Amino acid sequence: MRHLLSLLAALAVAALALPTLAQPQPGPLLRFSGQLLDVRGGYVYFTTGDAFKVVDNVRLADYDTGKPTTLQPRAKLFARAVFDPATKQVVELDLTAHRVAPDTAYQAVKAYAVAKSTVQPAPEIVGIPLTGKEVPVSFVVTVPPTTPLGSDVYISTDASGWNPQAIKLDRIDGARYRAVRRFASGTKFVFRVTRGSWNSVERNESGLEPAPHPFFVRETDAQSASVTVYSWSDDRPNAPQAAPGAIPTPFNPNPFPQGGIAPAPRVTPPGGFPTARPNPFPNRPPGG
Amino acid sequence: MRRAPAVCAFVLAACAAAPLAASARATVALDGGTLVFFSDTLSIVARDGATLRLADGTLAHGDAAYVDLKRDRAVLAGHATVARGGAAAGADAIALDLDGERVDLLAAAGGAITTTRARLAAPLLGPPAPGEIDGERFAFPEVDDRFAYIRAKHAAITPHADVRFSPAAFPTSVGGLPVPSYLYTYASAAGFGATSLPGATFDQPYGLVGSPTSLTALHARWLDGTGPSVGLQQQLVSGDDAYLAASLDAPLRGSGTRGLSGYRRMGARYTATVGASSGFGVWGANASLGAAFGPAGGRLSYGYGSGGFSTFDASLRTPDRPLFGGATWRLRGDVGFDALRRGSLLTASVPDARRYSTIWRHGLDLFVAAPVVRGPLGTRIGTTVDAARTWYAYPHHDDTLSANVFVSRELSRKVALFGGYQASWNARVYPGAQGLFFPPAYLPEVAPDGTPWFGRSAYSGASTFRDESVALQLTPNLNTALRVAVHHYADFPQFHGYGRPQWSLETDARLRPFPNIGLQVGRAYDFGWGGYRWVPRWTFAITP
Repeated sequence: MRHLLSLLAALAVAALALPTLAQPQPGPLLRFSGQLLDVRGGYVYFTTGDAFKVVDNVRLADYDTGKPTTLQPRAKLFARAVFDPATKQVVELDLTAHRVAPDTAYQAVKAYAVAKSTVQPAPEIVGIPLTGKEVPVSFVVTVPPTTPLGSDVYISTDASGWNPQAIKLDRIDGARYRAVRRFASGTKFVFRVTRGSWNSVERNESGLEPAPHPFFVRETDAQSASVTVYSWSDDRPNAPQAAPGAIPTPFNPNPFPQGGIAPAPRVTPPGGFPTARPNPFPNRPPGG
Repeated sequence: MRRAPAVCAFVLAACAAAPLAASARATVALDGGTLVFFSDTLSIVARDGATLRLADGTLAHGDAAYVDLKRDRAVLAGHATVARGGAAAGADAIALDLDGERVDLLAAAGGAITTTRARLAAPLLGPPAPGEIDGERFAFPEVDDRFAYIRAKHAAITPHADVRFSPAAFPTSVGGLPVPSYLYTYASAAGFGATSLPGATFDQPYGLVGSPTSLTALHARWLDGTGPSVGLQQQLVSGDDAYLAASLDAPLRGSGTRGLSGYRRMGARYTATVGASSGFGVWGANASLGAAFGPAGGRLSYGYGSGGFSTFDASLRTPDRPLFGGATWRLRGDVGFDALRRGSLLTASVPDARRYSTIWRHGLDLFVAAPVVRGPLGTRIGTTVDAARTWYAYPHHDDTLSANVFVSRELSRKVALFGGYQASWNARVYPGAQGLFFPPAYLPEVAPDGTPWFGRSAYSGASTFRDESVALQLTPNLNTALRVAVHHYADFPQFHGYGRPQWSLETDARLRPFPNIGLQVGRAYDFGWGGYRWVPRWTFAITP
């Protein structure tokens, strides 16, 4: 009898529970946190660029306590949006002024986002497509003070087969040269600064040969490249800067080799070459 | 015998380069009704039917093709097909990696498919899955043929190195200059810029054989004084870290020269260079080791030349240090020797001259540079001063004091005026023996025409070199510039009438007569030089 009563009670409980079991169970609420841009026209906008549909009587609550709040949604506030998976709408916004940790992965709520137009990746991230338009590129070269007055300065690029006189620069003042050239966007090259010959090429701060300067022409309206030359490879300290050999002439193209016939700086010994000239002062020693 | 080292070095370099050159076969061939090459973007556009052949047998065809040499990428558009082995695929556009495996096929209706060349040849692997369209892969930029540098019908491309066009023509608005074949080198290794050829008024290289690591080129040259010349240069390059260049230069008149130049970077701090040259009956060789200590630097160098001369230098240089008001100073010290095998470095007038076959020396050089400052009347002024003294083991020292002043005035964005004053004072001081009147070393005894220069013995004391110049620069647009400069040289002594001319007028013009070709022309007149009323000089260069 007791077993019968227990069985009936179990059946009664099961019968009472059946309607509940038969009803669909709501899924777990999804939460998405971020910084607000605005709540307007039935949508909440986050700084991620996503907009979500908001129910008419959305509940505004304090993020930390969960109790109703006097804060109103506005830009710069942080919020946690609680989604009803059944309607895919935001039913609650928990607001706070401090930065909040993300509640769920963006992928989980991505399907709820409203898109008014096709998705375009941000150009800062994926870059701007290169159209090949002409971009003026300004080269400004600061030369060392040892640069001779009448020097011409050039830019040599790999695209020109390393022609040492590929791009001639115009003098701006005592220390700077400049040239403007137009390149198609997307052009990529490396360059070096010369004085018209590979015997006179830029040196870095340490006096060593620097690596070529890389340059890429972006999809922009104008671009510039600034280079500082610390010294030239043919700088000759301790040598007269205006020696006669500095000026080759048609009748004497290389009269006093300086850098032409190596070794350059001191190929002529001090005192000149030994000759059989008569000694004008045979009795006078050099020290006396 | 004197020329032996340079000739041997050249032969060695040529032998070393031969295998490299032989292995550098072009891996891509492009044919078309018309090929147009643009040197600024390093791109080729093929029209009227384009066919691309890759070394692995892949064959692609399209109505037109765009080859980006910098990115090693090709796009064939319009009825494009790609085939390898017995398999083929067609699309509206096909993008290929020239040195990779990737192949992209774009169908206007069906989207894009990414696959590989190997997969093309093995269709049993199944069709590749469609993917997202990457617009960059199929970019086919609009080009303006006015800026074309070369027109051809065939191009043999060696990726990262060069492209050979045949038959090639350099178009201008008034016609084209045809050549049977032209090798255009675009290797990014800076060592390809190195040369061991002496300087020339005009030098136009013509590539014979190229590879990513070597280049053999003929040079059509013009030398002031001796006239036309033909040069041959072999370059071996290893990235930006090492190069070796060997050359022969053969003027049609006069003596030929041979040269060798090498460079090796050893880590971030050290570099080594070697050089050798011979010509005009003399030869010389040198080697140096450079080191960087932060912004400071040092160098060891040794040179040996014909006649038994040798020289050694060890130098250290401080970085540029601030002085005051933006000025900077730099100090350089060096020590070394000059030596003459079986000879004396002093004149026979010195009683014990034979003792001095080797003379040690040490020197100091102080360099001060003032910043460019604003001056009166809207000018900008820059000044430098350099003072150096070298002490020799034989009791004397050399002093050099030089100063530069540079003034610029921008009258408008297109017109600028420049003025400069450069002065150098040099003295060789023999304490207590100045009566011997030793002239400076750089004053020769024999003039270039072979006559003795008697003024050398008469000269003593200090020499001065002064250059006063004024220049006007016009830059009406980006492609045009004109510069006119007048120099007045006031030197003492003016060596036998063959030193610097008293007056010099120089004009330089940079212009672009055709959209794809630039010219740089210079004309200079030296007045009162060598007994002539004036002597003209030319400079000339062609740029893409």
